[in-house]
Amino acid sequence: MARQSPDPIFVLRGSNHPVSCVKFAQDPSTHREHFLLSGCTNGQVKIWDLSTRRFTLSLDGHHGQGILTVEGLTDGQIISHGRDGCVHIWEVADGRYDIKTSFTSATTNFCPCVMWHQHGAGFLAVSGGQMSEVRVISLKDHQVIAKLLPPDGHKSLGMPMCMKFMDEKQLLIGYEDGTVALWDVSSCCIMSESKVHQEPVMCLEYCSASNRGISGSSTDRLVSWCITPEGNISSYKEMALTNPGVAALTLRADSKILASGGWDSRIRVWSWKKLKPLAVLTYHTETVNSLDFSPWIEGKGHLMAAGSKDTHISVWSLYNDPKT
Amino acid sequence: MASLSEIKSTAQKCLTGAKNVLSTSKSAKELCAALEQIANLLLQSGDSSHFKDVLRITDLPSHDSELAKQEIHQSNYVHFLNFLCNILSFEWYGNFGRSQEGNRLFNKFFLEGLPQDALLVLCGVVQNSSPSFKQKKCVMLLEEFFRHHQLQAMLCSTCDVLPGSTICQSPTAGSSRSLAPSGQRSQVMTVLATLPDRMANALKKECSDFFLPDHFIPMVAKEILQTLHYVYEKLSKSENASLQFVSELIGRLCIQGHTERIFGVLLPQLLKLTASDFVWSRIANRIFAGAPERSLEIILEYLLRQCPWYGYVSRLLCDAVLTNSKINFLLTNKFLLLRHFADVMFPQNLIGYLASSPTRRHLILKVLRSVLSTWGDRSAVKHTSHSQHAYLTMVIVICVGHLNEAEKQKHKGDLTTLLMGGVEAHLESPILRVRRLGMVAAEIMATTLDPSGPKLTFECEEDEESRLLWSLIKPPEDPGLDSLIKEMDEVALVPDPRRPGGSQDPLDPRIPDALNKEEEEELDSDDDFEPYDMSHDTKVTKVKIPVYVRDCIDGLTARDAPELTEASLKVAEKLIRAKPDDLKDVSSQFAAILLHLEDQYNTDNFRYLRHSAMVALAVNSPLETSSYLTGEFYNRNYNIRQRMDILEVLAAAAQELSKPSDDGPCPTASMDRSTELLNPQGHGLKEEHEENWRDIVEKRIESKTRRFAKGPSKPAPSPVANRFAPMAGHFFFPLLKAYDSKLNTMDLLGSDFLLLGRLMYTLGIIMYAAQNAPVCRQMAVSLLDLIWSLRYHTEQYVRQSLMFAVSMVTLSVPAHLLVTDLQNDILECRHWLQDILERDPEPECKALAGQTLMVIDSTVSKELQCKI
Repeated sequence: MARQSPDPIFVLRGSNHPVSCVKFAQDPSTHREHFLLSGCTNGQVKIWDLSTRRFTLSLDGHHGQGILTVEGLTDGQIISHGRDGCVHIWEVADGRYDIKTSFTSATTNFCPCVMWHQHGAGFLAVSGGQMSEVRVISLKDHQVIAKLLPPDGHKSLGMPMCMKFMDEKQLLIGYEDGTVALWDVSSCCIMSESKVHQEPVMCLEYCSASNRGISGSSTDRLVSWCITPEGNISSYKEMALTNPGVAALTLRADSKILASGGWDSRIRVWSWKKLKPLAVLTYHTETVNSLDFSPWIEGKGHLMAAGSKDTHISVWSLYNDPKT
Repeated sequence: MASLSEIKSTAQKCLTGAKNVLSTSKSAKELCAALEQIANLLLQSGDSSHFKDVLRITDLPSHDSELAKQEIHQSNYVHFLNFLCNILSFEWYGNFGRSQEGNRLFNKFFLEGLPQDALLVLCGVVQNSSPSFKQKKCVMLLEEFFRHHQLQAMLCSTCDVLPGSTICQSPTAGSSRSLAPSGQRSQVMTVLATLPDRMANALKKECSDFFLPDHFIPMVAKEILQTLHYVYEKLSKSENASLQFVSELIGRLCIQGHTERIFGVLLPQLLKLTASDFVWSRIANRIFAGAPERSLEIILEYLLRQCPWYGYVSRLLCDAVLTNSKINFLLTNKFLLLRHFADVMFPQNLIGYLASSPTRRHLILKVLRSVLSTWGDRSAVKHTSHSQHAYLTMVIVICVGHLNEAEKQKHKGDLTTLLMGGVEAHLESPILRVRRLGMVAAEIMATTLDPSGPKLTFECEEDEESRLLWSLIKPPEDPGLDSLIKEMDEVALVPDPRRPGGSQDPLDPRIPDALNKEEEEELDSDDDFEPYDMSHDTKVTKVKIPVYVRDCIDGLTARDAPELTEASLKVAEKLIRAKPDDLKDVSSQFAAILLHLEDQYNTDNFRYLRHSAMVALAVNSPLETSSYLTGEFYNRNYNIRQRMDILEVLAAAAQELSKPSDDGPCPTASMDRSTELLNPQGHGLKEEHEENWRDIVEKRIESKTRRFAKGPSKPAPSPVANRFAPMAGHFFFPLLKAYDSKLNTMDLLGSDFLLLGRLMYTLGIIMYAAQNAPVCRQMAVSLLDLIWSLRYHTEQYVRQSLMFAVSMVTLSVPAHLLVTDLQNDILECRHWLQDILERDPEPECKALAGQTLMVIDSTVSKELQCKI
C-alpha cells in the first residue's frame, strides 16, 4: 500500500487576490534566512517571512495590473514584471522600498521575463514590441544587447509564452503555436526549433546537467525533449496527465524532482530521471499558477511553494529525507 | 492359291496340334517350340513371313494374308489365352525348367496380344481362381501388362476412328476399331474402373501395392494422359479421333470415388497444356462434356474447387454449359441453390466461368436473379442453414462484381427491387449473423450497382465475414500460369534450408540485449523515490458528485445538467452497493428512473453503467426491484430494448444473489461486529488481556494432551444464507404471467420472438440460480409447461433458448424429481429433442439438441445408478 499523499507543511493565506507567481529568495541582510516573494493579479508583490509565516512587506508599483513574475537578486534587489508593461527593479532595505530602475516590455502578452545572472553580470529577457520579439537586456548598463525576432519569411510563431536561459548565450523560448525554439543570443538566430505541442507552450523547464527539457501546454500531455549533441531539439518522452492544462513547471535544484502545476488545481510530482509520477498533491481548489523550489535550507531541505488562483500559497516539503 | 477357309482350317489344325503338345509334353524344348509356333500364328507383332511359314503358304498376297491373320486371331486368340490359363499350374510350368525362353514365350501371349482380351482373360482368371500358383502368375502377368503400357495401347486404340466414319469426335461415332462389340467395351470399362476392388476381393491380404487405388488410379491417369497426347498428335495431323471411351472411363472412375486420384494427375497437366493450345482445350472440353451424366457433378465440383482461377475453368470447359443440359443444370442451378461450399474459390470459379465469355454472359444475369430471389425469400432466410445462406451471399457479391457498366445500368432497377425485399427479410431475422449478411450484401450491391447514387451504410462493424465479402467484389486476377507451375515444382522440390537458421540468428542475440538494457536501467536508478498513493488523481468534474442515494436520483432526473447526470450515473452503483438504510424506500423509484434513462449525453459506457446500477439495485433490494421490473415487463409503452434490459438485469441479479457472498447476513458474524462497534476502546484492551491468559492455558493443555488422530485439517466452509432462495419466486413467476397475452406494443408469440427467446434464456438462468431453493420444483413444472407449449416454434433462436431452458431445468432440479414427478415431462422433452436432432435444418440447433440430450441422459442415469 502506497503512502498517503502528503499535506502542505503550511499555507500562507494573507494574499487576498489570486496568486500569479511565487519565488524563493535569500534575505539580503543575513544571507541565510530565506523568504518568499509572491505576486498577485492586483499588482502587489508581497514578501513573506517563512518563520513567522506572515508577509512583511507589500510592494505596489504596477498600477493594479497583474504580476507576471517576481525574482530576488543577490544584493537585496527585487525584480518584478507586471502586465502594465513594466519591469521594475526594487531596492528593499529595512522596511523601505523604492523603484531603482524600470524597463518596458510588451503589454499585449503574458510572457514573464527571465533572468540570467552570474558573477555580478546579468541579462534579462523580456518580450518586445513586435509580435514574436524578445529582447535581451544587460542588467549592468540597461542596454538592449540582442533582439530575437524570427527572420522574414519564417512561419509565424505567435507570441512568446515562456522563456528559459540555458546559459548566457542560449535562450529557450516557447511560442504560441506550440514551437520551442533555441536561440543563440549573440548571433540572434534560431539554432533549432521543434513544434512539440499543438497548442501554445504554457511553461517549460530545462536541466543543463541532463541536457533535457520539458514543456507543458493546454493539453493533457507533458512533453519531454532533449537537445542532441548537434543542437537539435528532439522529442524524448510524453507523459499523459489525467486532466488537461499545465500552468507551471519547476525543477528542484538537485535535478531530481520535477513539479508541475495544473489547471485542475493539482500539483504533480515526477522523478526527473525517468519521469516517473511520484505524487499528486491536492490542496488547492483552483489553477496552480506558479511553483518554485527553494535551494537547500539547513534543517528544512528543499521547500516547494505553490501559488494558486484560490489566493493561497502552499508550502511543501517533499522527498527531503535522504532515505526515502 | 489357298482360300481363306483353307487357311483357317490349316491354322486350326496347327493350333490343335500345338495345344496337344502343350497339354501332354513335358519337354521344355517341345513346349517352347509349340508356343513359338502359336505366337507366330496369333500375335500381331510377329513377322508376317513367320506367319506364312507356320501355315506353309507363301503365295498369298500380303493384303489377304493380313486379313487371314486377323480372322484367325479374332476367332482363336481369346480361346487360346483361356486354354493357356487352364493348363497353367505349378507342375506344368515346371516343365520349362530353368530356361527363361519358355517363360518369355508364355508371357508374350499376354503382353503382346490384343490388350483388352488379355486384360479380360487375366482378370477373369484372377477372380475365379482360388489362391494358387496360377492366380499368382496371373496377377504378376497383370502387373506386367500395365507396366508394359498395354493400357495405353488399348486406350489409344479406342480413340482411333475408322477412316470410313465421317463424324469426327462425336460421341455417337463410337465405331472405333477394336472395341466394336459394345458388350466387350463396357466389360473392359467396368473391369478397369473396378480393378482395385476386384483385386482386393480376390487376393485379400495378399494384394500387392501395385493394385492399391492410391497407386493404380494415378497410374491409369498417367496412361490416360499419354493417350490424350496421342489424340492431340492425331488431331494436329487433322486426323479424326474419338475420346468417348476415355471420357467415359474417367467418369466411371470418378463415380467410384477416385476423382482426386484421377484429376490430381490430370488437372495440373491439362491446365498447363490448355494454356498454350486451343486443340487441348477442345480435348478437355470433349472429356468433360462426354463423361457420363452421373459423374458430371463430381467432376465439375472437383474442377471448380481445384482450379486456381476461373480463366482456367473456361479454358477447360469452353462452352460446355451451353451445349450440355446436365452441365447447364449443375452450374446454374444445383451448385448455386441446392448445394453450398465453404471454399471461396468455388463460387469464384463458377461465376467467373459464366461471366468470362460473351456467349455465356446472359447466364450470369439469370443466375444472379434466381439466386437473389432465393436469397431474399423470407422462408429461405428462416429455414436454410447459415452456411448455405452465406454461400448464396457470396455468389451474389461475386456475380455483381462481374457485371459490367452497361449491364448494371440496364438491370439496376429490377436488381435493386429484388435486393431491397431481401434485405428487409434479413433485417427481420433475430439472428445477428443473418442480419449482418443482409446489411453487408446490401451495402456492397448498392455501392457497386450505383457508385454515384446515394450511399447505403449500415453502421455495422467489420468482421471476418464482411471483409471477405467486400474482397469478393473484385473478380480475381489471373495468377499467371508460369508462376503456378513454378510453384508446383518448388513446393515439391525445394526444402528451403535457409529459413529456419537465417531468420533466427539475427534475432536471438537482440532480444536478450534489449532485456539486459531494461534491467540495467532498472538497477542503476538512483532516484528511486517511493511514489505516494495517487488514486485520488481522478478526472475533474465541475459538478458535485452525489454522496447519497436520493441526491443521485435527483441528479439522474435533473434536466439540462449533463455533467451532473453523468456523475450521478457513474456513482449510482457504488452508492447502492453501500446499502444505505433508506434504499428499500427508494428502490422502485430508482429502478423506474434507471429503466427510463436514455443516453442523452452520449456518456461513455452508458449501457454498462446503467445495467450495473440496476443489477446492484436488484441485488440489494431484491423484493421491491424485482416486483417492479417483472411488473413492468408486461406493461405497455416500453420498447424492446427496455424489456430486454429488464430481462438482463433480472438474470444478472439472480446469478449474483445465488452466489454465496462474504458479507451475507451471517448471524454470528454480525453479532461480533456490533459488539465491537459498541465499545471499541475498552473491549479491545480487555480482549487482548483475555487472549493472553487463554493462550497460556491452551498451551499448557496442549502440552499435556496426547492426540491419536487429528480431525479435518481444513475447516468446513462457513455456511452462508442463500440470499436468492426466498426471492426466486418473485423473480420467476411474474415473468410467466402473461406471455400469451397480446399487447399493442408487444406480441411475444408473434413478431417479438426475439424477446420470447430472451425471456426463455432469462427464465433458464433464474431457474439455475434457484437450484437449491425449495421453490425450485414448482418453477421447474411451470417452466416445462411453457417449454412444451412452445416446442415447435418456427424461429431457430427460440428453439435454442428452449433447449437452454430444458438443460437448466435438468441441472437445477434435484435429480430424483426427474425420474419421479417430472418423469413424463422429461420423457416428452427427450422425444422432442431427438426430433430436433434428426430433422432440424440448422446445424447449431442440432448440436444444441444433442448436448441437451446428453445433459438429461447423464443426469438421469446417474440418479438411476444411485437408486440401484
